[in-house]
Amino acid sequence: MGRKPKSEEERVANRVEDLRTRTNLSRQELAEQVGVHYQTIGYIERGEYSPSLVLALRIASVLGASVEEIFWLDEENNE
Amino acid sequence: MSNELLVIFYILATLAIAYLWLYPKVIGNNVKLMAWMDVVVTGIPLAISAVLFWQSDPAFRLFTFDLNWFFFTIIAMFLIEMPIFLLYLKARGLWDDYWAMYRVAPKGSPDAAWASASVKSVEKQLNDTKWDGLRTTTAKRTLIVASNLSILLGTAFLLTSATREPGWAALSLIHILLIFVFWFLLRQSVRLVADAPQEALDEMLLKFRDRSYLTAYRWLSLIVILFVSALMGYSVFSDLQQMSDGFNYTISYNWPQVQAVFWLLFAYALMLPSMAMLSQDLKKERQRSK
Repeated sequence: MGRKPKSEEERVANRVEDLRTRTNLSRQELAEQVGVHYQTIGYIERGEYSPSLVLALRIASVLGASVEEIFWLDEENNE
Repeated sequence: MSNELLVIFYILATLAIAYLWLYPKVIGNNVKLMAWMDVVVTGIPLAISAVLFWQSDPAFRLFTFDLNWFFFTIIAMFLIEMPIFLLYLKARGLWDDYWAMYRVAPKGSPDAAWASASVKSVEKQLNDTKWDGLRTTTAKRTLIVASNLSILLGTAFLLTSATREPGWAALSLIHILLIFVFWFLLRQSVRLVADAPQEALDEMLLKFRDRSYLTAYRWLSLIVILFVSALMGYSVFSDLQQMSDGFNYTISYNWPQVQAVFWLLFAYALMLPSMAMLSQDLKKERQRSK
């Protein structure tokens, strides 16, 4: 039992960019509302950083959706 | 009156004027002005000592050491003033304000002892575009290579040829200057994140910073292991020599070589966190472009 190597870890896919543009928020505005730097939003949108549960809940709250609607395990791309 | 007592007398007289009149009546609660005035106050006994003892240059006894007038005055001043200064800060309720001037991280921060960038400066850097030229892939690669080359070539020069070069002192100053220039550039390139207190960073930047320190520690440990292995190798090699008694070793090294070792370790201790962060950035950029 242990953690998988980084290359084998499940990627977290998300719809942050899609929902953000639908709600007419810039990265900077969303970042300010959830209390992170705007670059962090960019990393999350590109799937290069998986947010903590707290940050995911904050993003979901600002974008008006549930966490499951925004984030999911991208099993297809992990094969 | 002995020279030592004379110096102590005018130190006490200066401090009496400073702490009974100048600081409470003139400076008040302005801790910044107090810090500057303290430099002036320290300068007064030094100036008197210079006038009295510069020419004759007598030896001053401090405990078991013989010192010249400069070091005796400055050390005596420090020993006498420090308790008075700390008590004054406590009594006037200036303790927190005074130390806050020198504190980079916020009070109570776990990074208080280590951070070398303030929350304000990191926030400014995170939105900075002025130094974006240092944040391109090519610039990052160049910075890593150039800073390492600068450290290693400077060290090699001091270790091997410094004593034969007449202008070695000037070249070693350039080496030291370059260390600080590259440290500055590396910090700008990573937007001070590697040296930031946690209060200035969000969860992702905090994760990147902590990862940089892990990598930097591993690299630094490699450098230290190489260094101590060389020392061990030298000792073992000395054992093979005919003159060796197998227990005592003599390593002779000169001042430039002391400088070489000191600045090598100092430079890497300063720069490795930022270098590690840059190399992580480059790795991410490579993965992104695949």
